[in-house]
Amino acid sequence: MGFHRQCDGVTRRDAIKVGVLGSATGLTMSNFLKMADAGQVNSKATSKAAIFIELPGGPSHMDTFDLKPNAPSEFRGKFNPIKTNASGVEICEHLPKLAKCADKFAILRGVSHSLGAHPLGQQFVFTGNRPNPSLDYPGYGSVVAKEIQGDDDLPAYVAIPKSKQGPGHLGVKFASLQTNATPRFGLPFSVRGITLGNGVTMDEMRRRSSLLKDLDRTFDTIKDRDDLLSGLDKFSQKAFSMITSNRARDAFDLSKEAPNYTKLFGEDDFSQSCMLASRLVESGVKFVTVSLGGWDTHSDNFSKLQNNLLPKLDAGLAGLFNGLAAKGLLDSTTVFVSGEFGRTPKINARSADGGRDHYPRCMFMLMGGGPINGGQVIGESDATAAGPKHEGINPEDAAASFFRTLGINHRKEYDTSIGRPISIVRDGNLIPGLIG
Amino acid sequence: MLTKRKRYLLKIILPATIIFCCSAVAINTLDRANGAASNPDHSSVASTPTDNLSKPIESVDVRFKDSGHNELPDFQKHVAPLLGRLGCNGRSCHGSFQGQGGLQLSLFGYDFQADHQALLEDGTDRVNLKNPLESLILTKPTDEDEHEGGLRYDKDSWQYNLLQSWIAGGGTNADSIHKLDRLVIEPSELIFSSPSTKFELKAIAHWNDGTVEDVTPLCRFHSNNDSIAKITETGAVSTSSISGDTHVVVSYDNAVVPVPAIHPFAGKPLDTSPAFRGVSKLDMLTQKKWEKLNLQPSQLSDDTMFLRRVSIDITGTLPTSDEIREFVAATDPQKRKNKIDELLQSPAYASWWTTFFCDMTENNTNQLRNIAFDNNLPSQQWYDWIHQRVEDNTPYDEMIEGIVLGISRNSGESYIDFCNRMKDEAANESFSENETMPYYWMRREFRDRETIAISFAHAFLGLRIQCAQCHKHPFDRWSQKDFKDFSKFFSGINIRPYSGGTTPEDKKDYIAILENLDIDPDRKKNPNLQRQLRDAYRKGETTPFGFLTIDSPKLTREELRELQKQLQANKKSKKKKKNKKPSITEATLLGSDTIDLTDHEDVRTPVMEWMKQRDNPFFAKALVNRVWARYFGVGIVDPVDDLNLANPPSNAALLDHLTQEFIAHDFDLKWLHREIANSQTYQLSWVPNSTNEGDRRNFSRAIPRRLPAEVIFDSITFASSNAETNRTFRNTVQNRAISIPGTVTNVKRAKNATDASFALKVFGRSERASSCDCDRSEETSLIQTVYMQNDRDIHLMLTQKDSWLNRMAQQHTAKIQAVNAQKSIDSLNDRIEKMELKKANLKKSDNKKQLQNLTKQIKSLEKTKRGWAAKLATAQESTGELNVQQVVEEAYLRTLSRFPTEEELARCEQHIEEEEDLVKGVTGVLWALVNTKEFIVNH
Repeated sequence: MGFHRQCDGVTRRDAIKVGVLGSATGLTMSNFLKMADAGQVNSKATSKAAIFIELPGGPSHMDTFDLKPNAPSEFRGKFNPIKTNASGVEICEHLPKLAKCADKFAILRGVSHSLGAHPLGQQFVFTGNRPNPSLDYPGYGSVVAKEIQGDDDLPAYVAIPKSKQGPGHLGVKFASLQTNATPRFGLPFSVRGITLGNGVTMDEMRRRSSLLKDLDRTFDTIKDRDDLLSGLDKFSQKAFSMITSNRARDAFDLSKEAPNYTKLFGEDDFSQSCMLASRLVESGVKFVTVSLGGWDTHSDNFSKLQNNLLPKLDAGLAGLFNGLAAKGLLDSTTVFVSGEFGRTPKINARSADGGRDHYPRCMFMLMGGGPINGGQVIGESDATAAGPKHEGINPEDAAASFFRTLGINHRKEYDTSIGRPISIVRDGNLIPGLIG
Repeated sequence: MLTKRKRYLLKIILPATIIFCCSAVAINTLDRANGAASNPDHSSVASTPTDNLSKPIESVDVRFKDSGHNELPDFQKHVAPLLGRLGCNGRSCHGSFQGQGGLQLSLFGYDFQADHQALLEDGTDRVNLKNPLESLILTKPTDEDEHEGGLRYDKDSWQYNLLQSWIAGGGTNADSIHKLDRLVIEPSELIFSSPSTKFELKAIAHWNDGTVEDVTPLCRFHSNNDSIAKITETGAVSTSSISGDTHVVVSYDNAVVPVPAIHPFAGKPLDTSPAFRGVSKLDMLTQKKWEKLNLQPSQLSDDTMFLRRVSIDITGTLPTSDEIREFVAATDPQKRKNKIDELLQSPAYASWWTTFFCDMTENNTNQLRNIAFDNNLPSQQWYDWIHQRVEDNTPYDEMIEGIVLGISRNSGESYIDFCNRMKDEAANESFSENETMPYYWMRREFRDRETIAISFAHAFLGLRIQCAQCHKHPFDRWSQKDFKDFSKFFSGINIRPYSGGTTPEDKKDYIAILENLDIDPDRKKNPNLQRQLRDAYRKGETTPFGFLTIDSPKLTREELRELQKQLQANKKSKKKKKNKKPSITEATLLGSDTIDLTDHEDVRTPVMEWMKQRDNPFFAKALVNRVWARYFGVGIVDPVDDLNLANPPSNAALLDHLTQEFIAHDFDLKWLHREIANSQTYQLSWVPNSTNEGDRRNFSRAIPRRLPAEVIFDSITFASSNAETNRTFRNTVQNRAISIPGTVTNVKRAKNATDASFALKVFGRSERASSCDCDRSEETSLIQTVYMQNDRDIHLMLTQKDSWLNRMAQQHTAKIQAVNAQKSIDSLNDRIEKMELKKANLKKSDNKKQLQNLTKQIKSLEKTKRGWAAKLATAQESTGELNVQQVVEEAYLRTLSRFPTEEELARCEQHIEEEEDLVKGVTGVLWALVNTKEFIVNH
């Protein structure tokens, strides 16, 4: 059952076998090569892990990474663009730290879809599949947790503090470990399930576990032939090693980072979360989400961005890129940054400081690390950032490209519980020029 | 464990990539005697042996073996199924929605007209009528021309000859669709008397026009379990060393015929003396199946195993320690029956089974926004409404009728009156008194009738019809037309948001409500409209509410466009037709009648009428099967929401019997619970014997299954709570995880209660999101075991203020206090005694001053002593004797619902000794017990 069977009965593996057998079965070699091209062979894959920065609420593209200084005043906004260390790439003046490391990520402009409600937009952008009422698509993290083998004593997928990326039809087995809290500067960070708490000592835990082993014998006669019971045993063992191994606890222990590393990050929760994400990836976690909310700026858009959101984003994200680079992890870690949509190009006048509303037709995304070509802008929006200037990039394309950086074939199919074959990303194509 | 995914894999057709060979595999052990045996488990008309005595027409592989013949093949009967067998219309080939190499066929080939058109499309040469041999459908599959799909058949094979004759004969397609009466499969049942037994299936098609033809080489075959019955693409069936039973499925045209395949378990015939004394019809029917498979049932469960299992299944709640002791000690032969009755009367039963119905109907809070200014209100009212009916044991059909025919506004009720009533019902919690409950129809995702049709068929009929939205699935009966015609029943359903109704009166009422609240109704000028209304709602004012309307069925935009195109074409041809307002006038029940919708004011009525009919093949059966699955962990049809011809019941007679009796008992839910729970079959032990360890679908033993998420959370609470709380657990349900109404699970329940939302998510409470029973997960995962071993919830619950352990700790402290007090009293007594002696001596010496001092001192010591005595008394009062053995026994009863064995007791005592104090030791014991497999599974 480890391989996939298509609806009409041909398994991929069978098909390839058949192809190799050649004329006896009638499948030609050109077919085999075509299949290989469709994703069996992934020479460009270099990332071993990924970090997804979720910006729920929908950040304004025009006030961050897609400024239109020449647009009419009712569109333009208050901020000015500044140059970055990547030639020809300009971003908002309130992102000075990111401007100094813009060579490390690519900006996607003119990303476009049509779902203007938060949950629907999030389902789309955080899964790479347009929402469908009769099917719950898995988020990126759960797909990665399924596709990339992790280690026994570490969770494969960690969400700081929570994520909108659920496991969908893949089932709870591939859900994230949620930290439920963000690390605070200078304070010890305890993680649900990982940190031993409430006065239980490691020795006590060991004694309890030995007691458990001796008491848990009722099903010994049948457990090896029962998937549920043997699975429970296996997970129980794994949980114990995760709880008692230093590795998992160390992975969450930010106090173990050296001072010249911690100073790359700010002191706010988002920065600290980004630092934790880098540490988790270094420890062997395969996928980490960090969430920074508050982008739903229907009112007072500019002051909220300038005073709070942009400085946080700037410090955390720049810290993350520089930190990963400092640890030598940037080449093997894909970083993906996105909200669920952009915001209306025209400024509303409902508040003194102006606001912008939901706008899926035009948004931005950032991708960096791994095999991604940083220091460039891909795609373009029109004069007022009201839509893509040419053919837009859609969330499926971004998803296909993202999975490619990890060597995951986005056309691979899973069977849902009702047996419907569903590819990881239904319609996506690789974004030209993004991957080196 | 056969996962759902695996089951599906097993269901899929065998690879169609191997060339078909005219000389079929030689099989010599065709077991006709078995094949002809009557088959009570399988009542499908389609597979009973032929009653038509006319000899069937020979099969196409014989007729077209040589090229010299002049038969004209039929497109529907021969060409289309052949293309299917060859894999041409498969998903990765020309059946793909984008087609392949320019040619697109209907996926799995049931759209004969479209496929015919595609093949004969002008200028493509797919079918070349002038030079038939140049036709691409002959040159490409034989690899004469380059074909991405490679070689599909050889030149001069029967396939080639057949297609060639069809082209030479003009490549025609009949004007109308031929109707297939039935497909008869021989043999009709496959019993593998040994692992080497083999069968070769033969499929005979009986057409409506009287033709009878052997269509074996044109059928698709698949097995529902490859390891028990392996079937080749030519219909040859073999088994392996694995025993059990399954079905192989044959499909041709629109027929889908399952054939039971049974490989009996090895060993001696049934022992005559098993403890099984099943007397009910249910037990006789399960037994009949066991006999066929040579299965011997397990022993009957003992009292503790039974009590735990039945308490969980009926009430989602563990039995208390006292209850277990009492039940084990009772000698009444009716005690199990009485216990079942008692459980069915408890509030926990109503809560737990209301949750079951809320899962089934998908009470999802997030789908019910924009109805009231309290997002949780509709979910709560939905839950309450069902709860009332489960508690009253309202007949199932009546309850569902209240949902299916749910309305928001009573007939003639003005919008303002409706809003007033809604306000009152929210305040008085009196919503459940309404005859109907409209929220099922008011989910946000119900925007188009096809989504509704999928959800409706799933919830009330146990059917998965979503495949048919885009194509006819070869192993399901529903065609796209069936799907479309059924969905038309749901084309008049409209959700009206709170912001005003559809009529001028409604709008006037809406404005009046807002004016009455001093709220400016102009959205553009008043950006705070929503917030103001929410505040007003919270203050108990009348605010607007969303509502449901059932309008006359409307065409979709696409349908309208199509119609306009037609009208325009008509205009051009100058045909004058009276321009009638376009609407939908007909809809067709699944596998049943077409209904004239203009006869019905509420178009949902005919659907409900149909479901209530006693011979409805799905409505009652789906429910019975779902309830059964809750008691056995596996449905008689499994997956439970797939009542599909190709997924037949493991015991059809059993399912039919229960369904008929359930209907005969007027859809009495408690009758159904009693019938199942009182059966010997349900009460069997999980401990297997030498014959039935491999049985997972015939109920010859209980199969351990993971507890549902809500029950896990509640059981941890139960295991850690003090004795009084536990005694009321089954009756005080408002703070329980089993009684959370919607999908928002972090609602504040009791003070100090642990938030259940994380645990419920981790353990897979139903998401109620995708019209699938798999929205509830009973899988295991690493995060679950991490939760059980080390989550702060667990540590906190074990030791919280009112917990059993904390009470014990207090008791333990009191005991220490008592010992200390006694010591102090003892030493005081010593001192006083000595002083008294001294005093006596002083009296002699007549030293008054010293004597006075001493008396004072003694008095003061006496006072201190009285203080200690009082402390001793309170300490003694609050300490019962803590007996380690009893404590361990209590820990076992509150977790595993049984008494510990001697060995377990000794091991626990050892652990307690190892820890620094008794309470720490017992905490460890309780922790270990909730982490055993025995705790987290129902067995």
